[in-house]
Amino acid sequence: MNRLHKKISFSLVGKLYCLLFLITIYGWYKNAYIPYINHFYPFSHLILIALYPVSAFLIGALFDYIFKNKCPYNNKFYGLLFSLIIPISTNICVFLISLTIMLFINTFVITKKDWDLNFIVLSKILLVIYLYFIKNYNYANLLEESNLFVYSYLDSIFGANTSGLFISNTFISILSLIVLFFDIYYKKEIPLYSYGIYLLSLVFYSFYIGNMGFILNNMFSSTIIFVLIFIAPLSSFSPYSKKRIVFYSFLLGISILPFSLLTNFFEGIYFSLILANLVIIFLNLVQISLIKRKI
Amino acid sequence: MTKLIKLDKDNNIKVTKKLEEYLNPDYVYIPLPPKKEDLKKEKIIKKGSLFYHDTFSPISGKLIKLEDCLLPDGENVKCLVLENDFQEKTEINLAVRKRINNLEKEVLIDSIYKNYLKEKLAKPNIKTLVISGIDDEPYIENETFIGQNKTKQIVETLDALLNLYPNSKAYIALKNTNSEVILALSNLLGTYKNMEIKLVDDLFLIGKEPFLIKYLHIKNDYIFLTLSEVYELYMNIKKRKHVLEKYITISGNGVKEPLIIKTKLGMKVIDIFKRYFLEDLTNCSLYVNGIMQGRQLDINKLIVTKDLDGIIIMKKQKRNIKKCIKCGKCINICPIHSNPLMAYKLGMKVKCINCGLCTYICPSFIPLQKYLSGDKHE
Repeated sequence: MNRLHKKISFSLVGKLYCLLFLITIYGWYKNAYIPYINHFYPFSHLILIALYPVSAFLIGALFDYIFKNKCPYNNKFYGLLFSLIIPISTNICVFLISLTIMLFINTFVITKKDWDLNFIVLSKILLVIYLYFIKNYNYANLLEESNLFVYSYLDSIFGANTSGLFISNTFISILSLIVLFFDIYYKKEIPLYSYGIYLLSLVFYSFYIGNMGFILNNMFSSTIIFVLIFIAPLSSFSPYSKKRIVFYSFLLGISILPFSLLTNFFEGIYFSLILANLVIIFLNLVQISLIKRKI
Repeated sequence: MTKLIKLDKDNNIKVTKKLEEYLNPDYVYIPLPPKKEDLKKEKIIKKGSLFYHDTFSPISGKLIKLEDCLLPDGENVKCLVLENDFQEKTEINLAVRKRINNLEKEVLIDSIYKNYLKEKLAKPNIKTLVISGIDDEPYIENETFIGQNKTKQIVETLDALLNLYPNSKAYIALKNTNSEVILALSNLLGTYKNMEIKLVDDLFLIGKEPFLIKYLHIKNDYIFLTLSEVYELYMNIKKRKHVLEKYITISGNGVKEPLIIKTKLGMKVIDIFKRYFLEDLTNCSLYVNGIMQGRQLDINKLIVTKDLDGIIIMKKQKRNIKKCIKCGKCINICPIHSNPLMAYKLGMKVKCINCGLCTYICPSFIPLQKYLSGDKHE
């Protein structure tokens, strides 16, 4: 294969790893280091929190090595992403078991059957349901639970807010979008369109309930912004034709607020993402069956 | 139509302006049309004599046998093998015309040997002549070479053609990066008010008729010609000769000295390689007619036809083909809005102009082109 090829100096996956590393470092600082220096956790907590992404990456790498996965979006990447979005209350053993099950399902079912199912989000939803039923569902660390600090809007943009284990920094997520915007393989339309529609729905809802503060409270939700930038546009789970990207983004954007109101602002985005993902899978199946009939 | 893109070329590969001529081959190979395999042994053929539709003998000599050959489009054909007697005997010798800008339309069209060119020029009510001096394929520069070296002939022919169509204009489309040709032509065009250079961006496929016409916002009533076709018209109309030679570019990072070679039509490519390229090509990939749209063919059987523009020789590189990540870039870049993913995943045959853009853009290095065209040689 010596045909002319587009020069790729730094791959999209490489960029995503670098940006996720930055986000992870900040997440560790916020959920491990700050509570530790304020004497809310022992020293071992610093290591324990770091273990989530490190173990997820290593287990993913082991899966890739054993099952010879050569896809750029591999188990390492998916494992790392999964570790970033879980609630802080997730026990490390529960996390490792759920991660292993998720990677097994990915390797033996999703990859083999070439499904487009967003199994990261699905696994996260199942994990949250499990945590909810065992009454261990919590996104706040002990420092946040103590109510000693009250976050301002500016704090929350720069990462001081409650969210998934490592994804609290909206500022880094937005910076990441700027970096990723210039990569031709990144589906930038998805975060832009869906966030725009989400914002519009926030404005309409705020008018409806007569509380304009609701917009400011929720427009910089770090969970929503992280998922829209890092998970929603992932090639494996998102549509590729222009029309379908617009439809997917619209569906995603419009359903974030209703799902967030039905559940909460930490989970709503995941439900809307899985809904949009399932609708796109359904449309793909219909299209393929129509084409096969024609053949 | 989709927005065209600029290709990331290897700037280290320079196409030389050096011309070599190889016009005295021992044998030439005349492809036969399908279902026609007649060979009259010992038949003496004169240079320029018509074999069949648009195919003329490039040399004089005798027919000796039939042989299987390969055309640049990958088609296997039976060819008549013509042994050169090196006497260049021609059927008729017509005198060179002193002036051609005062010819009647019928006389001018009658002077043209190739039917497809006759048909193009016979159209009535022509308002625009669109002349493409653009080489789309990276590292192939035949049109550039003709534009630079046959400037006077091209302008003289265009002047004659414009006289056939009242109130018509000629637009010569050149890439804005092609400074030498722009300079050569603009020095001559000053006195011709109805000829204009149109500079276009260095975009892939911009030299192809539908894309160039759209880019220049030209509507109906036009004739599209390339610079080499205009030069062929010059040879037909002014010199009253057939064009039995072809310029081909041989370049790429696998050759020390890239060349433009003037060869006889019907020559075997391997003969050209034996004369000019003695380096070991075992660690190279050869692309007939370009690294984007070309094919990998057996050059031992390949012959020079009017459709052969060049051969790109590239050092073999190891690229790991990865799994499709469904980024959809191949669909978005396709200039005719086909879906290469459908061909790759479902084995469907989809509409394809074989431009190679899907292969070029694929981040997983999947050779999508071969799935679209059904060519599994690679």
